[in-house]
Amino acid sequence: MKLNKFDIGGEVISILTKGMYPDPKDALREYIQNGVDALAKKINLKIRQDSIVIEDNGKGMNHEALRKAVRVGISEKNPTKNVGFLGIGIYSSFHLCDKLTIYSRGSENISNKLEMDFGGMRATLEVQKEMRLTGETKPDELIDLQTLLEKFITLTENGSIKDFEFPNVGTRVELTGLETEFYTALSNFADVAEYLRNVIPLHFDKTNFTYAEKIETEISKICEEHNQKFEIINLHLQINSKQETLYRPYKDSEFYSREKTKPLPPKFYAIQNGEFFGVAWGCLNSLRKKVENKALRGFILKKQGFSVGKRESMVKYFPRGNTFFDRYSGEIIIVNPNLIPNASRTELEYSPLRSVFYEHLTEVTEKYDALGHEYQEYTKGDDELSKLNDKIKEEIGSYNENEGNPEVLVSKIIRVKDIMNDLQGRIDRKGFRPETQKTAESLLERAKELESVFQERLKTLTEDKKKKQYMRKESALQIAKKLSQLKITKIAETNKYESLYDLLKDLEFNIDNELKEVICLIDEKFIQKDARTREEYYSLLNELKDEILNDF
Amino acid sequence: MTVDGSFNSEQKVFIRRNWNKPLLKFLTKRVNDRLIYLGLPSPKAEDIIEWIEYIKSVIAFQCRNYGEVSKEGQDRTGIDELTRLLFQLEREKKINNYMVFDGWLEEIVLRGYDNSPTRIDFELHDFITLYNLDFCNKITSPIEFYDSNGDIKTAYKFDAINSLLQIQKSLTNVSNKFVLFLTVHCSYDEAEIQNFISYPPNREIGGYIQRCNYLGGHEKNARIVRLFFAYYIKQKFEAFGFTPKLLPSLFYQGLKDVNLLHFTVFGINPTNTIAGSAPTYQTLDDILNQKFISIDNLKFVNKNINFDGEKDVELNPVKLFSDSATFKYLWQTKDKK
Repeated sequence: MKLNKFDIGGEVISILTKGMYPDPKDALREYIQNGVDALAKKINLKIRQDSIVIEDNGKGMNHEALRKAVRVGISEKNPTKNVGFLGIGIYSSFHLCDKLTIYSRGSENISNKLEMDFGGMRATLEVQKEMRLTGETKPDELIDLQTLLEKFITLTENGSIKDFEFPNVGTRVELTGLETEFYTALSNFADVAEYLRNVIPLHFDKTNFTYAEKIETEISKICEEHNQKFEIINLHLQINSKQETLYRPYKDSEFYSREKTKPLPPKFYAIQNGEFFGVAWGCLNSLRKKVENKALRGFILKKQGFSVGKRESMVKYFPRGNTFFDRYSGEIIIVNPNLIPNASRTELEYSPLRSVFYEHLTEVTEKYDALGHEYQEYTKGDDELSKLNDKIKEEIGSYNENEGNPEVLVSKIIRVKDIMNDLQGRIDRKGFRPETQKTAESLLERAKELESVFQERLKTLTEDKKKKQYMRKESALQIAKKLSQLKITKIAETNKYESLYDLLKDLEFNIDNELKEVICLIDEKFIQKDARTREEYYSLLNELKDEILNDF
Repeated sequence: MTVDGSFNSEQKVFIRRNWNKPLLKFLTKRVNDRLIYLGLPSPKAEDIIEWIEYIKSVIAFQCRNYGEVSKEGQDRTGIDELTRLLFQLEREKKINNYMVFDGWLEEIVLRGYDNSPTRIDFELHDFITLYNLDFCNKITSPIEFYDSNGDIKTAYKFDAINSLLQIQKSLTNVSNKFVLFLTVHCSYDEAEIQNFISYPPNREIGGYIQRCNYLGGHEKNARIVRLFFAYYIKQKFEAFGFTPKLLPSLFYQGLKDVNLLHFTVFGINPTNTIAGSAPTYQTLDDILNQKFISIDNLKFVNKNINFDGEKDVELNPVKLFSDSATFKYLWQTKDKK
């Protein structure tokens, strides 16, 4: 089957760009990406009401490269080296501005200018569309893509741009005749800056993020060890009067803003399996909490510095799901040239290598989860150790060496035993970080010593009580003796007490078992012995009763 | 406007090249950097083009219909033309940056935003080192504008200058030296200046005004306007801690032989002064005792009117400034780049 140029209608450019770049900011990303691919170190982005300018100091394009830049779906870029390579990005502002002008100074040090009249193209397509609706045009009369582009794209003759017109090194992309909606979408500095911070390979913020330098250095080092390069650019954003050099969004305060704290130092892992895929870095929140800024929770996948998909889409590769993922902020940076993002930058393009990559990524994510878990345990251990230490101090502080209340001592012993159990349990399951393990063990020893002190005191106290009870037995005997020597005169009122014990109970003496035995003995030895009959015995007991009543 | 569409008389072009430009060259050396311009250029930006080698970036105000209240639907041709020109200068690396505000300086500065369809907020983040306020109307002519509630408000030049100096003061950590050129008509009739004449702020000023009455026409007007400008600009500068130095005033003819006055004021925020106070080395009398400078056969000359003991002045603007006590005492330190 043979096709000709009339088989591809001009409308295709409108359809493609509308679908591929749904957010006006995507166009900025595309042009910035070209600068990065051109090895620029610095890119200036200026957004004003009438124009947008993206200027880079990269290697620029010569006449031939500019000619080829207008091709649709054919790119000179090497997908293994460059992020942009699909040969469509130059049209990303098709619906957003009337004119795209590119000045570039390439390797021959000659400036050239390419002008794309998007407004003209859109107007032509619009007229056609209306004519189709009214039946004034047949499908075969519609403008084809090639004719449309030829009509509205102009490339200057090589060398016809004078040096003063474009004295810069690199490339300058100008978008003029901005659609009002486009400008409005790009006029909020904070919105645009946030978008760019997340999608562009920016430097880390050395002023506000403790580990900025370390992360850049370490990732570069790991990449170099595997003969790969980690690219970072300076991006200066200006929207009307406001301007700022942008950095990646990570700051200490994003982890937890209410306290001046910083996250834990970053952990780096090379993702590899013979083949090197890239590097992951992640900082864990030091407060055993989720990262405060929701937009920065978890890891984001990046091809070089350009984001691929969203952070939440990476959760599925973490075995513990959001449990520890949300406590990290980090990136998974792919530098492997054979892993390529899809056109809309939402995922890596399908390939067998992609499956291998995700498989090995899981090995890394498991490590991050494990670290998260370990940190969780260790910090809990720190807290616990501190609390138990305080409790021990409290037990020592509140202890009186002459404590006479056994109940107090028993409570203290129970509490110290609880402390010992907690310590022993965490020591047994290695719940303290290695450097505090010894502290925990010595605290346990201290608790044991304390328990033995309390036990000792309790023992002493028990023995003292026994001695006192013995003393009390002595005095009972004396009472009995006294009773036995009482002179019984008469029975005022004869009660038939069956024993001395009954009599004393009737008189409401408090008599425990031991004393009862003693009283029974006295009764038998001294009173019953003197009585010849039961009546006499009753009489003696009643006499005794009277004596007691008189004496007490 | 001349036939070629320019707003410039021959004398104005001469002043720009031979008075302002040498001063800007001098100032560039003192601040050790090219200058940040804030002004009211024409759509062709002749002043910026003339001084381009000394200008780093531009903040421009461009009204739509001259003499009318800004409103939707007015022609933006002048704004678009100026924007295109500055855009080109930026591409050519002649300037690093620019910003064009749609409307009158007074309304934008005082209201806080311009009249663009998508409304641009007025913000200054740079210490302005060159103001060129080419008002080309009377010193006290107010402009009217719609505020955010749609009510008509009135704004005066000195209110806008006041706001600019206030912002400037907040940016003195960036730099502390600047120059202000201001051009106005050599006439007055508004209530503010009439009031100033009827109720002069002190006896000396009242006496001077009385003596001016012996002069007639534009000679009198020039002196009254100079007095009014000098009195208020000194006050405004000193209120924000800037020490002013006024060079002699230029009295020249604009288009259609309109008499114009061109004032030059250097400002500095001295770093080692007692909090809030800026030393002054020039009295109002010093300013009023100077002859005007005019242009004769494309040469600066002392305007030869014998009035009130006015003295001839040096005609080289750089020498005028560099010989001044203000310069000697306050301007010796160059800024670090």
